[in-house]
Parts: sequence; C-alpha cells; structure tokens
Amino acid sequence: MIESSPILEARGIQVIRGGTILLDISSFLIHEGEILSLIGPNGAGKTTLLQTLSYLLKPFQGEILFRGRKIEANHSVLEYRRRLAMVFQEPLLFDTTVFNNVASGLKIRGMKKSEIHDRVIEQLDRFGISHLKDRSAKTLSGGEAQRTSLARAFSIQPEILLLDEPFASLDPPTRDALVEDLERVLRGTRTTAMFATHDRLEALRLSSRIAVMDGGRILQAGSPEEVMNHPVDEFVASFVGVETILSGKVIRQNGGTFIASIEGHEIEAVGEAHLGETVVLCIRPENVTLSIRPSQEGTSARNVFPGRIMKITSLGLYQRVHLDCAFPLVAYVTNHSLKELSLTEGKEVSASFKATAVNVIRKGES
Amino acid sequence: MKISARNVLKGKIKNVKHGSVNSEVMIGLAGGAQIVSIITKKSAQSLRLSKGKGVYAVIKASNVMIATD
Repeated sequence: MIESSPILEARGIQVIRGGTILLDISSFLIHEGEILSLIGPNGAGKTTLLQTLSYLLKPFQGEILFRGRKIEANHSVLEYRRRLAMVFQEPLLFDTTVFNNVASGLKIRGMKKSEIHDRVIEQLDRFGISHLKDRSAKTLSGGEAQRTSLARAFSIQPEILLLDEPFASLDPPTRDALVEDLERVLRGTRTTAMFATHDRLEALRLSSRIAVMDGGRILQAGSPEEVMNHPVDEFVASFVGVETILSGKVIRQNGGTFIASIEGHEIEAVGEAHLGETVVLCIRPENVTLSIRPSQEGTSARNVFPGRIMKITSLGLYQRVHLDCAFPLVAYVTNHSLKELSLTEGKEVSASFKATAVNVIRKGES
Repeated sequence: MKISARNVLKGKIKNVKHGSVNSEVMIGLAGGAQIVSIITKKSAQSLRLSKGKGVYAVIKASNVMIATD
C-alpha cells in the first residue's frame, strides 16, 4: 500500500474531567482509505477518542487537523462534521420510515429530492434492506436497525466513518452477516474508517491497522500481524490474545484444503480460498505440539516445522513457548512436558499443528 | 516418540471413513474404549491408515474437556 498523506491528525489531545485524565494521546494519524480499529477493554478511552475526533466531546486540549488544516472556530467545525459520519452501538434512528432515516443526512445537506431518492435506494440495496423501505424504524429488529444506521452513514458518502462498537449488542449470526456486509461496502467504497471494538477477530478481519488502548492512551498501533505477534508489553499481549497470527498468500489449492506461503514457508489449512488471495492464519498455542527433532514424520499433523525456542514464560499450570520457525509461533506445553523434553531457550525442536487447527480469515485479492 | 503431548494412547484402527476433505478414524483402545480422530484425507493416505493397523492417538492435555454426570 502506498503511504498517503494523513486525512486526520490529532496532536497532544487531552480530555480531563473532574481531575481525571480520560484521554491522553500525544500523536495520532489516520491515512486516506485506511481502516483502523481501536481495541481495548471497557473504559480504555475508545469512545472518548471517537467522540473527541468528531467534536462531540468538548472541551479538550490539543488540536485536530483535517487534510492538513487545523479545525478551529465554529465554522470549520461544522464544515468538518459534515464530512464525517458516525455509527453507534445503539442505532439511534428517528421515529419515521427506514427511507426517511437513510435520507435524513442528505436532507440536512439540502440535496435535491430526486438525487436523495437515488442515493437512498442505492444504500438500501447495498445493505440488503430495500424491502424495509416503508417500514417504521420502531418495528425493526436489532440487525435491521443497525443496517439502517449504516445505510444512513454511507448515504452522505463520508470522508471518514467513525464506528463505536457497532455490532456489540447483536447476536452472533446477525453480527457475522453484518460484519461481512460492512467489510464488502468499506472495501468497495474505499471509505476511510475507524472503529472501536473489543472483538479481536472483528478487528483482524476488518482493519488494516490496529491501535490498542488502555487508560486513555494508545499503547501500540501497527498492522494486525505486528500488534498480535509483537505486542509491546504484557497488557497488549494479554488483550490481543496469544494466538500466532500469520499473513500469507494462497499458492495451491487441494480440494478442501489450501497451502499458503508465509515468508517462503508453506502452511496447510482446511477451508476454501482462491489462488493468490491474501489470508490471515490464526493458530492457537493449545493446538501446537512440540517434539524433539527429528521425530514427527509419523504423525497426521499436516504442518511440521523445525524451530528454535526463543523464550519460555511460565503461566502457572503451563508454559508459553515462543518459537522461531522462520516465522513466529507460540505453543503451550505443560510443566511436565517442559521437563520431560528438557525444553530450554535456544533448543532446536519440531513444532506441529493440524490443518484443521488453523483458523482462516480471508482478506481477498490484493 | 518424544513429544510434548501428555496423552499418547496406543490402539488399533477399527474403521476409517473417508469424506471429501477429512477422514474419520475410529481407534479401539485396550479395555474396549474407543476414540475418534478427524484428520485430513491426505494424512490418512500418507500414513496408510487402514483397519487393524496399530496407531497412537495423541491428545494435548489442554484439549481434553471434562464433564460430570
């Protein structure tokens, strides 16, 4: 991806309420076309950051630059607010029809009736809710209401879309379908977006960059692989989870399984994916088995890699073993196995995991 | 075999059922208990698994669930 100029930049942002620092961000950037996810526990400052960036929360210290220009005075704030859209956990629909809800942002902007009609129809179709056009927003299910809310946000063709845990109150099947549709629309329209979530898989799936927050600060920001595999501290590590996350390209298919190339190494996974497609592979440490080399030719595990033990951390009942297999890999072993195999830092071992143990996230053609 | 998995159970294959991608392998353990394994068809073929063959079921301790009555 070409590094474009930042569409939004925040400098020295501080929000203080009643002597408590709610937000403390020295510098923050989002680039055109980027999809950034903010992850962190409740109270980390995700919502405060989104609200500050959209000027919903005032006053605050510091400055915000939109396309390189500082936003100040009431005039430019209004101008700026019109270029962005927000979607909240609660859909916050008006008590009118679905059509009128989606049209509301366009009406405020004084758009012509015929133009509004075309735009609204396009968005309803995009989010699969054309049939609900004349329904009262009050009668919608949670999923339908959030689709309406997303259609309303996209109808103004925002330059930045801010989403605050948009799927948090939906049941899993509704949520999955909606994440899939949002992903398609975001990629199709190349909309710059920033969304808060506490779901790591959602963040992995949708975003090109992840920022981990806690206590009002951004602890780490980077590509999903960078943050997941090289967390800067124990908090980030415990929050982003401990799976190995690898990104690669599909180089062979084999009827129900495929091989992805990760830094020149081949990993086999069960699932469908196109040749050349970028995939993110998640491997849970519980599913990685270690043995002393060379002894694992005789098992059914499809993925066997030589590696060196870089670090061993005790987690009480079991041990977390970080391996360098030319790509990073984490395994959990019991204290008993650690002793029996005399696993120590620097030792060469063989790591294996089943093709069915690889969780695949498809990122599409790139 | 030196492996970190804590449970290595010796048994004999009672049945192998091939699906389009995966194979289901039923292993009979000493004492009459059975254990089932789902592996890729490719692995079943490369290990030449068939009825009567002696094999080991390998299970990591972290993957064993426990239920009570």
